Amino acid sequence: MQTQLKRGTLEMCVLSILCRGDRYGYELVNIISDCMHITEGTIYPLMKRLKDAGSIDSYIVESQEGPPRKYYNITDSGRLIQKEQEQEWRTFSAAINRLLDGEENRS
Amino acid sequence: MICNTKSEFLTGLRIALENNNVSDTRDILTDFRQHFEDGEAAGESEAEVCRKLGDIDEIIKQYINDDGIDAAAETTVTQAKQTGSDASGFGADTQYSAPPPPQYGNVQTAAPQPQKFSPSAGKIVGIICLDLFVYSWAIPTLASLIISLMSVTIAFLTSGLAVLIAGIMSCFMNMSGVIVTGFAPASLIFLGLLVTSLGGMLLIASIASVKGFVNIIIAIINHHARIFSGHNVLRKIGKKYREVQV
Repeated sequence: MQTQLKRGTLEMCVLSILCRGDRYGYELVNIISDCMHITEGTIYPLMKRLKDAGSIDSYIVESQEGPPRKYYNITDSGRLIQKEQEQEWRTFSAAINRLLDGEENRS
Repeated sequence: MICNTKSEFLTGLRIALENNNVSDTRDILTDFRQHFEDGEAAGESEAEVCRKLGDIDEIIKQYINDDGIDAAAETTVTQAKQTGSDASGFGADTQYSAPPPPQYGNVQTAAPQPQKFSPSAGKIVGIICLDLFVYSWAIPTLASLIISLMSVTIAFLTSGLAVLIAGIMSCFMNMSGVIVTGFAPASLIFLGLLVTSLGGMLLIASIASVKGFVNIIIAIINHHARIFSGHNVLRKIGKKYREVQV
């Protein structure tokens, strides 16, 4: 898939996943890469960008085995942004699907 | 650059982050180290994790976008790469001047800022000290060790072969010919085989050490190329060697 298209939507995907629960980096990367091909290393810069923008936050969980793990959680403003983006995406993709299917003259 | 091991990746990433003045280097490295550990716990090899993480240059570009130069600048690089012009290599230290194209989603737009990167004085002094050590002590010492290993190898191989040949010859000449030895032919042949096979093992060891030596030299050159990535000539040399290695 085109990199530009993917980059634009990846942020929305991350926010949507975090809406359903807190995740740590590796877990998050795997959830996304199970669905589509991504350069996994680029998720971390995205997480930093989202955190700097205040959409997500992170906290450290000490674990019995191994070093402490960094979990990401969505903030209230992140939730608002996610809702907005999801709305936009659904409208947009519905429109594109209509165009692709050649149904623009119907309904 | 493509890496195969965790330490190679983390070192490469750290140097690239520092060269490009990305903030929170330590946090970023911790994130990636954690990623490697989780990957290993899930049964992935270091090489596999590296491959999936992708090119360090690509990751660095994302962090730089984050720190000022916007996504538009990166688009320019991608396009330039596709048309075959020379924007590849160290990515970030190319100067950008293209206007930002329209963005999808709510990515923030800012005017592209041309950035120049050059090594600091401290880095240069550090690398000179390191070079003094490497070129005046480490490389000569290693080289002489390897050379002596090679001569021992040659000695073993030739003497082993000589004893072997002597053993075979004494079989035919019934110990009365040119070669007169105090040994039975069979024991001479066995001795010859033993010494030759020892020589063979040494040969394998010396080939491995020559290979290791060459790799060390390539690593040193690569390291220099990364440190001085702001300089055009050195950048080109570095790129060439990287291609050689990949």
